[in-house]
This record gives sequence, C-alpha cells and structure tokens, in this order.
Amino acid sequence: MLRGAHDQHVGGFGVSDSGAIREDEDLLVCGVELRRRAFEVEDSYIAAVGLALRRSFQASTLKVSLGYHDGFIGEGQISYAGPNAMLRAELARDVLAERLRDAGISELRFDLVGLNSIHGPTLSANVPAPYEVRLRVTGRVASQKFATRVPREVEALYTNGPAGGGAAGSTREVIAIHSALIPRGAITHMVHYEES
Amino acid sequence: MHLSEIAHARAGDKGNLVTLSLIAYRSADYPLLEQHVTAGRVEKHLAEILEGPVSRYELPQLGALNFVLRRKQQYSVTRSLALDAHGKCLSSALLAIKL
Repeated sequence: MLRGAHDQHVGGFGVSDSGAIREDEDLLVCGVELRRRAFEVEDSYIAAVGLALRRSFQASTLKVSLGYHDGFIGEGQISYAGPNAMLRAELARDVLAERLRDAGISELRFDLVGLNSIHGPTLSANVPAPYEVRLRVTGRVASQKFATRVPREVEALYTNGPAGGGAAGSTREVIAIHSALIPRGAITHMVHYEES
Repeated sequence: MHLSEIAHARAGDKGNLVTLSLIAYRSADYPLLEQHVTAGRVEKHLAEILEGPVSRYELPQLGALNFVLRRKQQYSVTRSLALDAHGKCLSSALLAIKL
C-alpha cells in the first residue's frame, strides 16, 4: 500500500497529525515526490521510477509528541457460557453499572467480547448470540485508588452475580500522547560524537 | 456482495486519526470500488465512532483507495478504553460494506 509516514508529502496529498487533512500543506519532513506512474509490475517485481528528492522542500515546523499524565484506567473481565450466556452477561453489566455509579469514574465502558467489543453495537447488530461471551468493563478515573474499584467489583460478581467465571482485572496509569507542531527555528540541536 | 469478496484492506493509526486502505484483488474491480465506496459511504458506515468528515484518496495505479478518518477524541490510541485501541480492526469493518 502506498503510504507515507505522517508529515510526509506523497504524490500530491499530505496529512497533519494535529490538524485537519490538507492538500499541498507545507508540512514536509523529507520531500519525496512520487509521480503518478511511479510503479511498474512485471513478473512479481515492482519498480519505482521517477522518484525525485526535493531538497528545497523543508517544513517550517517540526512535530512534537507530548506525553502527559491522564489519570488511570481500571479494567475487569468475566465470562459467561452456555444457554442464556448473553442474558447473564447483560445482567452482570447492569449490576456493575449500578455498583460503579458514584465511584469517581468519568468514563465507563462496557464491551461484550465475542459480540460487539471491536466494531461497536451498530455494526454488530443482528447477529446470532454466541455460545460464550466475555463481559469487559473499563473506567477512566483520576487516581489509582479509584481505579481498583473496577476489578474489585468484577471479582465480587463471583459470589454476587450471575453464574460465570474466569474473572480478571487490572489497573494502569495512563500517559497519553498529544501531537503538536513547533517552529523549526525554536529548536537547536547538536551532535556529540565519541569514538573509542 | 461484501467488499471482502473483491478487495482487501488494512488499517493504520496515529492519535485519533485512522487510515484505511482498500485494495482491489483484481485491477478490473477498481472502478467498482471507486464508484461505490465513496467518502460519504464510509462516513455513514462508521458514523458511530467518527468525528468529522472522511477524506478519500484515489490511487488508480495501485487499484486502491485510501481513507483518512478521525475518531472521537476519547478513542485516541494512548488513552482509549477500547479493546482495539489502535483501531486496527476497522479495516474489517470497511470490508463488511455491501455492494
């Protein structure tokens, strides 16, 4: 697939991480121009012709990846199988929604793994019920203390929920990345080279 | 027929941007892709997770289309609650489109 890394200008289109997609945006890290008929295929070989390196084309900005603390995520999972597996998973989900209501969770998400955890409910609609399903709950919280509520509530379902098993849970700290641009002139760099 | 019968697709991601490539198995099928798999069609199909319009790039010399879309902010890779945080499985969602 013809695909450049972001911030590379390839064949007349460019992509900026931190803004809208723009045509002809002066956002080049390395100017490589690929002409329309660049690729020829012959006997399982692909030849790239007509590539031109435009050294004059240098972006005025550089990309910055900024890491920042963005709270914690608590996660729990538990499985249900056999007749009415879906109904039991949905009941467990409703119990958790109630139990985690005032738990300092800013964003709460439920997935039914094996049914709708990947493409969401709309694209997964109208499919037969699976033999087994894994309920997954994740919650975004501000601190580690609140994060542990999620796996603990899932574990509590063993004896306080519909018949199911295989519970697992975890908490993790979130270091998120935000992409931004900085004027090239704001950065100085040097190379220090040592040889032994 | 599903797109999966005449094309394959892959997904790439960065932040909350996702790129989806759609590549015809046979170059003779490319015009079908170009005609039916418009940016609007993809936008409608993936509306649940999208924020903003979908952009489409055509690469007829490769028999391929490339879509660039933006997911809702909470789905940004490094902080998403989703199981498929990168959105790598979205290429399969594209192939589920019916012609």
